[in-house]
Amino acid sequence: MKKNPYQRVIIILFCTFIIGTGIMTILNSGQAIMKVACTEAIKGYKEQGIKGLEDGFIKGLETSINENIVGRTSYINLYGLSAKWLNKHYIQEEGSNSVVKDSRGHLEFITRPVDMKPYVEEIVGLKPVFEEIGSKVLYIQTPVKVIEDYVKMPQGITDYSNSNSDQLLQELEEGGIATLDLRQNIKRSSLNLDEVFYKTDHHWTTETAFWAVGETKDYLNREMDFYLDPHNFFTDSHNYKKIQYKNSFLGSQGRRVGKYYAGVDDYTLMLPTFDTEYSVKINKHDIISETEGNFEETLVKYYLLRPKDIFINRYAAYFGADFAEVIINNKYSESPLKVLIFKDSYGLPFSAFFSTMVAETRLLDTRYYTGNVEQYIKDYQPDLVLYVFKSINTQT
Amino acid sequence: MLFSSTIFLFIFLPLVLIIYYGFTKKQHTRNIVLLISSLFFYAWGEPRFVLIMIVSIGANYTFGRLVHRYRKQRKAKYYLTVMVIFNLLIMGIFKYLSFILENLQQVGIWKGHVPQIALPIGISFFTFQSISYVIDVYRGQGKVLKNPLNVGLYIAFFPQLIAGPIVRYETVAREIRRRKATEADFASGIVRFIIGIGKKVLLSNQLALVADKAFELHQHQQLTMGFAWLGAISYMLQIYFDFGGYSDMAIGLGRMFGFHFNENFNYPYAAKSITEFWRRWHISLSSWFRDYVYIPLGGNRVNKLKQARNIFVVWLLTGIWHGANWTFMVWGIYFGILLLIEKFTYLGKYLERTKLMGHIYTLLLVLISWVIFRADHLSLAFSYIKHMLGEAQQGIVNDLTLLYLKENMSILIIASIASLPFSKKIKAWLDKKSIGIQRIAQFIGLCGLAGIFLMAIAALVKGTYNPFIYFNF
Repeated sequence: MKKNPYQRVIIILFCTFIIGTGIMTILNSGQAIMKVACTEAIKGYKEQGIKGLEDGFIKGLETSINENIVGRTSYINLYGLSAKWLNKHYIQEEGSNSVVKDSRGHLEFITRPVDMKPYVEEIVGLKPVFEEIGSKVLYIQTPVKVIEDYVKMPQGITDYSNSNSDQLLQELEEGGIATLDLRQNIKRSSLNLDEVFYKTDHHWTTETAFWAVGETKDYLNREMDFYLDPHNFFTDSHNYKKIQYKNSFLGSQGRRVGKYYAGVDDYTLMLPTFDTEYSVKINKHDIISETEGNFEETLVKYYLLRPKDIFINRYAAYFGADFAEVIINNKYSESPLKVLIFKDSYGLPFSAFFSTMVAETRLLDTRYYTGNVEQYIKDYQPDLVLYVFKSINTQT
Repeated sequence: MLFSSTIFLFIFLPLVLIIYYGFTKKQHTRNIVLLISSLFFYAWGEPRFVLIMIVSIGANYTFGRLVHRYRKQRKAKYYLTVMVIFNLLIMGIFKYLSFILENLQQVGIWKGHVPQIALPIGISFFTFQSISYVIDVYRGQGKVLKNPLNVGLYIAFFPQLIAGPIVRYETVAREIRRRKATEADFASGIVRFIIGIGKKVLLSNQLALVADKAFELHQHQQLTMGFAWLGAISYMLQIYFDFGGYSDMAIGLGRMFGFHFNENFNYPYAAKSITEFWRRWHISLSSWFRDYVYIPLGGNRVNKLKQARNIFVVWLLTGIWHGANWTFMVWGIYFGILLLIEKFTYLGKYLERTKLMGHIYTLLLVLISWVIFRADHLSLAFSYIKHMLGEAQQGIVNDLTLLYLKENMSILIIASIASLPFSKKIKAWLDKKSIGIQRIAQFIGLCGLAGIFLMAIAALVKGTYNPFIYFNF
């Protein structure tokens, strides 16, 4: 390179940038980075001895530096912007986290074909236990984001979420488990199908989860002889206030591609306007937390709503995250029912709203619950058992 | 450690630069800083292999001293022979032993256990550099290094340690002892490094997704003819931007520390014959074989039969150097045969005259060669080529082919343009313009470079697919 005035500028900018980024990253997250590296090293050592220790430390350090790099979210935004410029609809990632832009410009994960038999056997296998203790059981298939005959994936990409669910529901029915397929209900509903899911997340919106509670209640009353919310009070959206957080939320897919690729979602928090009094116990593996207060005080986690960072997972505002076990006691309940809900993340807002109608709601997330489920059911003796899943095979 | 990783960019490189330039001005101390950094860099992936590196440094330092001491005597040749055997033996044990035993087992000669031996990263590169050091000392093309740490620095210098270029000792002999990184060197090193990381992360990694998908589909017998071509072309571009990008990064990093490595690539896909292609592709490897194998065997100064033998031997060795698999050997022989044809028939002269035909001929044959190179087994390579020629049971195109074509069209176009010497032509054109225009162009270029760097970091932070083909060699 010939001597030119830019040489010094290049050197200063480059060195300042790499040195500055390195220092800032270490200052901001050094402890967190080392913690991850040491955790991975110990995990590796336990699995493979010294080799595992080395590999675990190196991998842990590299991964955590990547995840804690200063300006990470801006880089993700830039990545998404460049993907948008290149008109990409399929952003491939290793594993099952590739992101696809569907016909509406909403983001999707791709669901692969899954053999549902083991999951069916697990549920059907518990049927004698339910019968023994007199619990009624309903499997609720939530709507899936790739709504049949409405949402199209790019040519060449096949999503199996519907066929997986079809297989599961059919086999559950054959096994004598009642099912409610909300995928059908939603198509018949007056909901705007473009707004029933977040465009950057695979989850249903708060309003859709609220709608699902109403549908479930109707089904339980109509088909299974329950007498829930007979005056349609708890399932009437007019009895809730809506707080909207505009342009505040990037969902699971959105966080992988940033805000420029498909935009940002609004998040709506729904809170009862009627009086509530709850006691809530959350089993977080080794820690159990207990809170008392109204619906808002016990179930809503404002630390996920107040910060302006759009990369925060606002979807988990009800409960804060998926936990192994949650026990909600509704002290003002008119119904004495005890309900056990097996759930994935779709169950978070659903369970929050469902809890307004019954005396006790328990949430069990078998991805994290390590105890004996059969014994748990026998000990608890629920009146009603609900399975609320988007896809029961989801492990994350 | 990968150059294209955030830990390298924001932790390792800044630390080395700060210690190297900030704490000492003595050449000797700076060499020690670089050597320790290099050994740390090497140990990062596989700490135990650093011992092999240290043994190799120690042994080749000793061989260098011995060869130098007995340079005018017969003993020098003896030590030279022992040195070559020693280096090739280390490489052979780690790289080829399992393969040889496996094959012997298949024909019933070996009845014992076939050990699975992990391959030390970059062993082929540092073995060849070690050999180069002792031979260049023997030939008087570089002074013997009295300090073993300097031999260590030559063999283990982190920019070229893992994936080359194979730096000949004579190229850097003087710079190891005395060098000065000027402002121009440092700045041009940064520019080169950023170009390299852009090639690697923004082009090669994206194309890798298409190529890998094609070969995966082929294994599952779901490959269409169209996807077979798309995958082969993607791999052709992927390997160029992977290895070329790595070489750019290595050359750039070298310059930041005052080393001037020779070029490793010169727009190989602009070649009009296979002979020209190999003058432009992996130049450091082909020139290594030329100077240390082909010429000592007699090169062109022997009769045609022996020339043919020499070419054949060099290309068989080139294939073997790339890996312990029949695919690499066939790949090497394939090029050897093509080069022989070009050399000893009218074809070579014909290609010189017909540029367009030459380009098409070269690109097609190189494309075929990359399929052989990429395939896991020879049978899979031939089957893949058959798919390209229309034997695909899945038809010509399907939805998946169109999806991958559509999604990667922009990258394919950008990569194709970037693989040809347009930028060289633009630079030559700008050189004729006024200083003012040149300054504006430089400013625009620098902004573009900053954009490339940020986008590359964005892809790394995002955690996109990040393989490195030449790490296997």
